[in-house]
Amino acid sequence: MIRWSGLIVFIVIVGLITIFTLFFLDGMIKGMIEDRASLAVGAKVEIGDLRFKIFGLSVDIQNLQVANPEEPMRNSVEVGSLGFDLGAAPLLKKKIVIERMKVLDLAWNTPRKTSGALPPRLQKKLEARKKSPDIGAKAEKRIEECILPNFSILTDLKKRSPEELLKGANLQSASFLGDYPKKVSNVKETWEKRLKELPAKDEIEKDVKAFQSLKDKRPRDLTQLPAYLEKVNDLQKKISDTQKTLTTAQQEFKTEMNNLKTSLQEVEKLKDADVKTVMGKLGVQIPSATDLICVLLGKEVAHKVNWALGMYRKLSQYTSKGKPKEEKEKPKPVPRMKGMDVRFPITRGYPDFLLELAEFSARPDIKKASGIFAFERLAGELRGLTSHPALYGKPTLFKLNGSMVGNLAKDFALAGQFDHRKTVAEDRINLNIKELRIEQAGTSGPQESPLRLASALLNVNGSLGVKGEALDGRVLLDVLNPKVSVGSSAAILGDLFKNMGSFDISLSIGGTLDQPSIGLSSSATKALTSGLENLVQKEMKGLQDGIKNVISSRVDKDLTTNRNEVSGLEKLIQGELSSRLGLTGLPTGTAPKGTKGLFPGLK
Amino acid sequence: MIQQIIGLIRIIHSETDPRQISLGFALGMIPGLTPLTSLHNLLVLLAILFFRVNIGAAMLSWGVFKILAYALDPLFHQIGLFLLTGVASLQGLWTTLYNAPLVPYTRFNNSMVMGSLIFSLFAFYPVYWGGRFIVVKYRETLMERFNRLRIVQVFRASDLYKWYSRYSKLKG
Repeated sequence: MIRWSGLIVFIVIVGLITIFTLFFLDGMIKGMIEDRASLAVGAKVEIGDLRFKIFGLSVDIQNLQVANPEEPMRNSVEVGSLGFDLGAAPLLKKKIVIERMKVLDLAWNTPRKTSGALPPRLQKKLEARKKSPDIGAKAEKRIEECILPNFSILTDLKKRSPEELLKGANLQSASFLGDYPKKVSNVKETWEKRLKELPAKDEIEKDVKAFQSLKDKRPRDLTQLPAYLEKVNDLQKKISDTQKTLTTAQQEFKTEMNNLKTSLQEVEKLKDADVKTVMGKLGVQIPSATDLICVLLGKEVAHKVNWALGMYRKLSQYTSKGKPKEEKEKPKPVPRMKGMDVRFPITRGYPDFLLELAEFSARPDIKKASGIFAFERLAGELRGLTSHPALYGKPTLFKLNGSMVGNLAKDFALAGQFDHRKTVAEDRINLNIKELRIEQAGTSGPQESPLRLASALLNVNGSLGVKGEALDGRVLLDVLNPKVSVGSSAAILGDLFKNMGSFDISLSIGGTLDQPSIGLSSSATKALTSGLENLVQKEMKGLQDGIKNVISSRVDKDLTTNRNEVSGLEKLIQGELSSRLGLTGLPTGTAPKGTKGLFPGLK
Repeated sequence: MIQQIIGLIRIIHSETDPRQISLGFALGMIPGLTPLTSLHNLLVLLAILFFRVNIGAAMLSWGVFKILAYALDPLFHQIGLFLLTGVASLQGLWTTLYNAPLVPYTRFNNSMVMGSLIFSLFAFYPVYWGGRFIVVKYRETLMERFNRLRIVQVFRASDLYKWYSRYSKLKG
């Protein structure tokens, strides 16, 4: 039953496969890495040369280029040389363990000779893949999109006459004065009626005369004296009551007149209110100091924070999701004829993937004058990157240190850790930049920025923590020697920023990865607020005065007329009441009591 | 392939042991039903070449079962998934295998590989037995009639057959 020749054929077949693999393995690995990485990045990932040494299990990659999906003619990252050794024993268990990796000559944003767009073959595959979750959730759009109000409106308003601005305006003061004569007329009518009801002049004169005549007819007979005195007292009481009634009426009238006069004084307040209403309707918006800081630097920082959050979310898709050691992963749906890989707990040994240490250094980029990724010196390391952090038992640590080209930043340090050992992952990233020089060239035209930090030295101190989905972060910026460039649309703010001293900006990051939030505060807010108030007052004063004058000119004539009306009414009624009181023979406003006054000795 | 099939017809018509033919057919079924690049197929290839089984039958079977595999794919996936995740008593075994050297390269943890391999292993003996039964029955009842068929006689008298017979003799 045994066919020895068959065994030889088998050995030959296996041998041929092995030789073929050995000859073409480099190309196969290269192609596989390029395809998979290209699909992950969304743009071409190309390897200049790859050498895999089967004896020693080492991989050496030269000239790795990762194209920028947004700009296909540029590389996001370029690596001069990348080399690592694979652990032989773990490889027997289908585990990739890299003890040490060296990445040299890193460079960012380098030009490409050919387009880095994905070829149609990979493009189709990419489209067929499930769409990745939206990583564009932005923190506080309000901050990132903050804008200043259009100050040119003030200039335009200055060109228009106050009459034009008041056209169609419904003035409360004018309307009040329109109704006022009616009130005066009502009061007049009421008091004319009241005067008729009060004791008339001839009646008072008659009583007074009767009293005088009675006074002269004092009886000599003592027996008639009590009846006489009773008569005198009765008459005196009547005069006294008349006097009392008139005094009360006079006081009531005075009160009413005072009310009328006081309400007329309200017109001044209504005029001010009218000025405010008209000014409010002109659409002049006053920015808050926080808005100014936001436009100046806050939106830029918020943009960077949002970018960092987006990158973190993107990176999170490729990192392990912090699962307990023994927990089994849920199987995913798979296409036909491919089956589904079920993963079982790793009980001992190494994780499926482990990068114990990667050291990298960037290519000195001294040619570039500026740019966010232009480093004069940059080196760092990454420790413990693994597919199974719980099994590995240590968090992933990374740190980067360097300085930027042209003394753009004296010191740059980025460090952090990704701790996915527990169910709830705890990640933290710290960023420190010392003396980051900001030099922004001016822009003009429609894109001109109203407010721009033209130059400054920044000390950046940022920290971002992510626990599960919750964000907790803070970015502190010390802005030293700021020079603010004010665009023509915000020229009005020129004086405010002329000699601005050093200040700080603090951004607090909270919320969740899906719904982040950013709060902004600054030490410059107080000074800017008072400066802004003064500025606005100064700028608006002329316009406000003009409007006030026009309102006054419209209202003051009616106001004088009404004042005269009130004065006339007061003279008329008050005069009548005074003359009637005068007839009673007693001083105005004092009512006689008992016999006091006329007969002080009689009781 | 054609050569192997002609060879198979010749062997059926020869005195070759029916067991060799049916064993080849059953062994060929395994790479036919399971993904070709799986490690266990290397063992199947070794068995086909090392033992005196009919290679033509194995190749014919591989082709036939490859077509069948497309139709049975959802079934294989279900079987594989059930064995890998649905049977609690097997979890320890799978975990041990998953952590053992070399075994993970067999892709036993893939539902398709597991389902199709188990299916083909269970089908191995029925296919072997059925194949042998068919060959024996064919030789007893149909072979004579087949040889008497006019089309077969015409084919045997054709230049192509003569050329092939001469080539086979030269090849030994």
